[in-house]
Amino acid sequence: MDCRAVEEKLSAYLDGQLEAKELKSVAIHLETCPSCRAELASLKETIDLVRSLEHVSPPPGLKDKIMGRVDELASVRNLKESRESRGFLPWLWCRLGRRPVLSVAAAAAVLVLALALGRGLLEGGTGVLRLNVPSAGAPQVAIDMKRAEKNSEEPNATSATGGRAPETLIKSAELGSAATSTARQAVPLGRKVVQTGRLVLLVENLDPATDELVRLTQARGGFIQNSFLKRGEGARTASYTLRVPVPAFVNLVQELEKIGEVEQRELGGQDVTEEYVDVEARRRNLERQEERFLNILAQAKTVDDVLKVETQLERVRGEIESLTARLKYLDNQVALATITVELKERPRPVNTVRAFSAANLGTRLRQAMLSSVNALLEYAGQVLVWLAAALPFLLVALVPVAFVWWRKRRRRNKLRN
Amino acid sequence: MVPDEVLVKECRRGSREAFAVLVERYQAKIYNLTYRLLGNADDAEELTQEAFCRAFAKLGEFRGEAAFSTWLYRIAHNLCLDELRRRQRRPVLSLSEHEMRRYLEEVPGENPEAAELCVRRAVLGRLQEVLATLPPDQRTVLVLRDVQDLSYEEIAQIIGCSLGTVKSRLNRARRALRDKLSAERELFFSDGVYSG
Repeated sequence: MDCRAVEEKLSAYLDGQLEAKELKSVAIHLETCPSCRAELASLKETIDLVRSLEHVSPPPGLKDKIMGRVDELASVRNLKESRESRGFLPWLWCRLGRRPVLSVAAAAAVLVLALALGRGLLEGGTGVLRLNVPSAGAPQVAIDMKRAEKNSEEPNATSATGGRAPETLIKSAELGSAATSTARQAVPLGRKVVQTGRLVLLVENLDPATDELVRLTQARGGFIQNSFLKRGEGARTASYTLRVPVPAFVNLVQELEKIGEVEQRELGGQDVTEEYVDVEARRRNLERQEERFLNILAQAKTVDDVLKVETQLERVRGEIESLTARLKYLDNQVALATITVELKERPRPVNTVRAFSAANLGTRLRQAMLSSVNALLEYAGQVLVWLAAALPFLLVALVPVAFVWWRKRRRRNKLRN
Repeated sequence: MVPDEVLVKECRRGSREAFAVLVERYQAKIYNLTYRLLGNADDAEELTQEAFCRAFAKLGEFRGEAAFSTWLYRIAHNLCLDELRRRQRRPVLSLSEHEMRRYLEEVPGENPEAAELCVRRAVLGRLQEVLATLPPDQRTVLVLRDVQDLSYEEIAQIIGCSLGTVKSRLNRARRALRDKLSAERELFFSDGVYSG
């Protein structure tokens, strides 16, 4: 082993890190080589000098400083950990909190969903699946009107159908006026129906509208039964009750609608057939009674008997008369449809300054506020009810979200283990 | 004495006291290492704190393949190397040899023991400065071996290299230091100043 190789090993030699074989050869070399011995001595000197470097003691309070920082770290980590391993709802809350836009959107979605679902559930049994028909009114009326027109066009088809109904029709025809026969034509299957209509129209000016209304009614063979005029705040309102023969009913309604803007329209019919038949039957009975009383009267011997029978006759005839009047009224109602037309003038644009009205201001303010508060409370209650109704659906919607949370947590636990 | 492994386990379970014990046990060693590597008390203190904080934060990653102390040394060592690399870009001025000598001559000699202590301090301070002129990798092995008195195996684990590398690097470091010191031989090896 030459000096160069030995020099390489002297450091390890001093540390006792050489293997037995190396150690031996280095030791042998050192015995014979003074320069390597000098090298070893200087190295040892150096190492001893370095070893004599005193242990510096750490500054006082180092441990406290370290622990202070460690505590800080720990608290931060605890916060993080607790945020990660907490339950589902806090997790959801935090998630949403991190993205305010998303959370607002979610809240809005939940509210809308709750309202829609809750409303649907409360209104109809099957709730969500049921489409809300805006209002059964308009289309239904259109169909009714078409059907009515069709009926009025084919009056004979109805009288051809058999059964008891035609008989009553003939009866009523015998009793009634000319109007009754038209009624017979209009009402199918001999049903006695009282037709009524109600129109609320917005018009620019009341006077020409009224004129037009009168003209149209008369042209259709009808008349004005009743009229009523009211002046409200700035705008006038008039109400008319029109009677018109049934066949012209639908046409007249259509014509009247052109006078102004339709705000409201109701068309209806009341079936009075049952009452009619009942009244008729009672009248027939009474008529037979009358006949019998007349026979008895013819056979009466004493004045006393005559008087007694006369009393009975009078009672029966009175009843017959009242029933006949009822029948006449019904016939009239059936023959002539009733239309109530309400004409409302459009409020004029305001062009004058009115004095500030301080009367009852306090009371009005209070009432307005109270009614607002009441409305708000009522609405809040309603919202709660809707939320309750929608809750089951929301729970179902939360299932996928909960699934995501659960998977995250499982993955994290796996990582930790 | 509670073994490190038990304390580490306790720490993982969230025991602050267990970590406090570990800090108590190793703060001096880590401080010495950083002090010898960086040569300046302020930086040493700062890096010692940083090392323990890192250890605490990364305790979950400690696998127990090496001893806790080795792992802790390794963290401190890496921090020091980072710091030294940063310094290389921005060198720190140290006392020159000339100033050192003047400092020695000005030491008042009224109390011989105090004077001797003072001189000895000055010499060791100078040694520290010379140490600081060694390249960081050599300085590290030298400090770990001859100041910290760690085994070759531990050093290999701390700096992350083979035993052979530790041996050769240590050899190079010692000889380099010896060469540097021999230039100021009478300061370091004259009688009285150096007495073991």
